[in-house]
Parts: sequence; C-alpha cells; structure tokens
Amino acid sequence: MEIVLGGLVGVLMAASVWLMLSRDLVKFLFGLILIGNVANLVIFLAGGLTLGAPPLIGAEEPAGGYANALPQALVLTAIVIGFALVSFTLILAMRAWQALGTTDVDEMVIAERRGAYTWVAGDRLGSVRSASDEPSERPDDEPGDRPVDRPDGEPGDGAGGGAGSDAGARS
Amino acid sequence: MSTLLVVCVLIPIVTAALAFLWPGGRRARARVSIVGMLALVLAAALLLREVMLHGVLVAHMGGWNAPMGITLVADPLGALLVAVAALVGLAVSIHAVEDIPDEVAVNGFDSFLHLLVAGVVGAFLTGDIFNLYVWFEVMLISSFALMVPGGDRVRLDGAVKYIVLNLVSTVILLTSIGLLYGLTGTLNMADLAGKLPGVENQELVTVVSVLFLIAFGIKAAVFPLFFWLPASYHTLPISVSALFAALMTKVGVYALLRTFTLLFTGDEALIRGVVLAAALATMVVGVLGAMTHTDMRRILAYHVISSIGFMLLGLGLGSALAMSASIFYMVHGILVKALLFMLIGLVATAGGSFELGRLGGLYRTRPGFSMLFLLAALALVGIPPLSGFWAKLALVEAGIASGAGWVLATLLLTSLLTFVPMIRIWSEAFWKDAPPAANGSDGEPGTPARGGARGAGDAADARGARADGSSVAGTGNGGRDARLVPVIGLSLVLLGIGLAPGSLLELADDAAAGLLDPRAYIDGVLGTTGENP
Repeated sequence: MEIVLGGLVGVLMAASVWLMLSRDLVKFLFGLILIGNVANLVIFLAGGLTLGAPPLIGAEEPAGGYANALPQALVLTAIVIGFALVSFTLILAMRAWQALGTTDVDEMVIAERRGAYTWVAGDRLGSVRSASDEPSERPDDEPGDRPVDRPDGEPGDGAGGGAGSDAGARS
Repeated sequence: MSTLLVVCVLIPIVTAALAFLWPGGRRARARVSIVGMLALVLAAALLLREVMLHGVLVAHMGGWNAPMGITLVADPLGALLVAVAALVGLAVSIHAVEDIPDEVAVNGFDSFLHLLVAGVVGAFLTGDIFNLYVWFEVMLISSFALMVPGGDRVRLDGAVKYIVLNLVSTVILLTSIGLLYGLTGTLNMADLAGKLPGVENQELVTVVSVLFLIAFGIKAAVFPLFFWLPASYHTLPISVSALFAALMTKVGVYALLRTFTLLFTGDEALIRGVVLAAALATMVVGVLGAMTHTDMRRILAYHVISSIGFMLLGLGLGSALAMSASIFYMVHGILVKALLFMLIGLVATAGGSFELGRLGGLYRTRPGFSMLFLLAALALVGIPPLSGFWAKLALVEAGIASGAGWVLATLLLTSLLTFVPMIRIWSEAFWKDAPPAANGSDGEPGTPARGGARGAGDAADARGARADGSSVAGTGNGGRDARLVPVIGLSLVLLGIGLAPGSLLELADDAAAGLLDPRAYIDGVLGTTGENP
C-alpha cells in the first residue's frame, strides 16, 4: 500500500511541477492545487498507514491495534487552510485577469516596470497611470479600483506580449 | 504566569473580532484597534519582563502536556520579538487611521491587521512545528486580505506574485513537516530536538532540513528566493508596506533561527555554509537592487532584502557574538523599516510622488520633518550614536572574531553601499530644488511647497475634500497629520536604543545564548526540570 501511495505521490508531484512550470497563471494554479494535495498525501503517508484499525479507542486497547489519528488531523487542518487559500487565489486570479486582460505571467509585469506606479498625493488608493505615461498626462482611465476588462493598452507592449503568447502556445 | 502567553495570542484575535463587530463608523473601529494594540504592547512588555526574570515560560494548551499537546513557549528571543512586533503593530494601527481611506478600511482592515499580528505573535511563541505552519497561514491569509482590497491593476499584479510564491513556500513547508513527523513521530520542537539525533537515516534529516531552509528562505526573502518581495511591496498602501516590511520577512528569519539552532544541528557545517553564503549574497544583491531604483518604495523594498542578510549572518557564523549581533540588528531592522516606510509616505504626501525625479525642495519647506527622515536614514545606515551603529559594530566584531576576511569585507562594503541610496533619497527629495510643476497648473518652480498642492489638485476630482485636507496637513509642516504620531514615536524608540543600547544588547545576548544552548528551552517545555512536573 505504501508503495502504491508513494508512487502516486511521485506521479502527482511530477504532474503538478509540470503544471507549475507553465507560463499560464491558471495552469500554475491547477498545479498549486494539485501539489497541495500531494503535500497532504505525504503527511498521510509519512504518518504511517494502518489498515482497518480504529483511530478512537476506549479505555482498553483493542486486539487489532489502533490507527494514529494525528496525521489525519493534520491533513484535515491542511485541507481547510488550503481550501481557503486556493479559493482566495482563484478569485484573485480572476480579478487579475479582468484587470490586466491576460493570464500569461510573462505579460503580467506592470508592477515591476520602472515608473509603473505614479502615486499622487492625497489619493491614498494610488490610482494608476499606465506605465508609459508622461508625468504631464492626467490619469485618463478609470480609478483602478474598478477592474478594466481590457488588455494593458500600451505602445510597445503589443510586440513583446505577442511574442510571449506565441511562445506560450508553442510550449 | 503562563496565562500571559495565551493572553498575548488572544488579545489580537479578540481585538480583530471586536473591530469587525464594533458599532459606529471607521473612527470607532480604529479606536478599538489602537486600544487592542496598546493592550498587546502592555502584555508583551509584561511577558518580556517575566521571561527575563524567571526564564523560559511555557503553557500547555488544553491540559495536554508537552509532547502530546500544543505548547506555547516564550524564551528570550520569542518574547523580545513579540514585544517589538506589538510595538510595530501599535505604530501601524495609528498610522492607518489617516493612511487607509475609509472605503478600503470598511473591508475589515483593522481586523486583518490584528489577525496578522496574531499570526506573527503566535509564530514567535509556538513550540510546535505544525502549529508554526498554522500561524504562518494565519499571517499569510491576513496579509492577502490587507494587500488586495482597494487594489488597482498594479497592485493586483504584485499581489499575484506575492501570493503565488508564498503559497509555493507553504506547500514546501507542509511537506517537510509531514516528512519530519514521519521520521520522528512528534511535532513538538523541544521533543524533536531530542529525537532527531537518534533518527537512523540522518541523510533524510538533512534533506528535510534543506526543505525547511527553502520554505523559510522564501518567507524570509533570502537571496535566490526573494523575487516576490520587490514585485509586490511597492504596490501596497504605505501602512501595509510598513507592516509587511517590518514583520513578515522577520518571521521567516525567526523560523530559520529557531529550527536551525534547535532541530537541525546534526549537519551543522553544511547548513552554516549554505546560510552564510545566502546571507552574504542577500546583503549584496539587496543593496545593489536598492541602488538601481528611483521609486522610494522600491529602494526600501530592496533594503528590506539586504537587511535580511544581516539578520542571517548570526546563523551563518554560528558564534554567540554573531548571533547576538544579528538579533540586535533584527530588532533595529524591524523598527527602522517601519519608520522609513511611514516617512516616505509623508514625503510623498508633501511632494506629490514617490519618484525621486519629481521630488525636491522638502528641506526648505519642511525642515523639522526632514531631520526626522535624516535620523531614520542614518539609523539604517549605522552612523554612530544611532541604533544601526551598535548593530553593525557588533556584527563587524563578530566578523573579525570569525576570522573570515571575506565575510568582514562583504559586511563593510554592504554597509557602505547602504549609504548610497539613502543619501540619494536625501539629496533628491530634500536638497535639490523642486522640479518645475509638470502640469503647468498652479505649481510654479519657485514655490516647492506647491508640489503637494499640485498632486492634490489632480486627485481632488477623484477624492474630493479628503485629498485636499490631507495634503494641507502634509504640506503645512504642522503636527496635525496623525501619521506623524507613530513616526515620532518610532524615532524616539530608535533614538533611545541608539543612546542607551545596553539593555537591548543584554537582551540580545540572552536571546542568543538561549538559541545556542537550547537546554533551558527543552527542559522548560518537556518539564524535565521543576517548573512543570
């Protein structure tokens, strides 16, 4: 049984790493969900498998021995936490897709571009001007707290982005 | 007195719930939040005093004694860091009243601030490795909730990287905890310390320790694993930046210190070497990154990375002197990072931008505030009477004592280079003349103070009177901006440490001694001495 589960852990781990190496954020997140489950399996497996024995026992020990309940408790905790994190991350990915117009992580670079973020005094939300704005331009798009369902409309971004998605399609 | 441990964890959690449910508007909730932080500071100070007087404090949850149940432990290092974290939490909770707009705070900002602090405090106090993971998650999910609401495209972009890479670290941590449990059958750290040397397969222990190194290394933003930090920290509201920069990475550092002095001591030479190399690389890369940027927040974000290197030097060198110096540096680093982030927020309010190129002339318009910034910048760099000096002096002493010339050289070079970006902020934002107003609206080159008014004018359409009001407070050299309260408070604390470093140095020595000789910790937890029969 351990061998089978061990093999399963290996296969799932390989699959999730493969998914996480993808440039597509959605595939990456699928990989992350999968690898979270692999981690749970690892705990389960490392805690030792006991077949057909009860985890909760009375005052005297039953003849067939008993199962260690702790790994299951740990896995349960990890599942609950993982569920919360994954739900949050999926929503975030959706918001990011709505706001940035892409799930290709090679195109999700606006935060790291130099001068990407022009902060204006008094505007504590930090409304964004697009990265190529000259300082003199007024913010022409909506305040950033509403998602904008369109790609980052910048000159010079089209070429790089196009190349990126081509490469993504190839891989 | 062990209830004090539980109280320290409970105060922020209870305050989070209260701040969420409290009737009344933002002001009322913020008041609850500040009172909660004050209570936490008080409890943490009592805890620290108790630990200094009576040694390691232990509380067993639910009446299950050590190896079975979850244990909370306060040793000198944990108690010291809890106190510092509480102090930063207090500063941020005051700062946020003015900094976070009401429409964002309504998403539960105050509650999540307290939950994050609860996660930090819990991580510092827990004696159970799986519980440490849970506190990391508490911290992580609260940090998500603090960074995303009110976010625009840029912040969403940064948040994706922050969250995704931190989740990877979480999975690695969880896997390694599972493997550790499989090897030893226990999760209590004191118990693990006793059982790990007896594990047959020591190679596997080394593998697991490397997994821990990677997981905590990502959390701590150590050299090859830091990329999430500069991708996200500069996109956050200043209160959140200050909180994250001060506390989040330091929990990773604490976890590294704890696990690699208590648990994985078997393969010391290998781990020490890896940590030392990573620490030096982190220092250098961080400071080089800081030199390349012109956005003040990005400069500071890279400084955060650089300072992580200094904090890990103690673990890398392994001597009591170096460990103590690193712990001292950690306390100093937490406070000075929070202070600097808050200061650049004020700079940007006064000058209208975080971009150095658009700032200028602040020394002429706001001399008092400029002196505060200079003080904090010099404290970071380590100019003599300030706190950073003692931290770096102690590190240099440790470097000399270790006899490794290249460690010493890197240390001194990094310290020197740290100076460059700070001096650039100083000369660009404070000394040079204000750049001509690009808008051609009301700001004339001759009146640098108008920079702020110009920015406010831009935003006035969007934000109305509020933007105007805050800008007046910012440019008018007055103390009416509530954000000045935590700034001045933290400056005084740093100045106090600088002028009288003795007691903190003693504390750091105690903490280092507790790390390098964990017998008191183990005995306290397992009750092998009199305290918990």
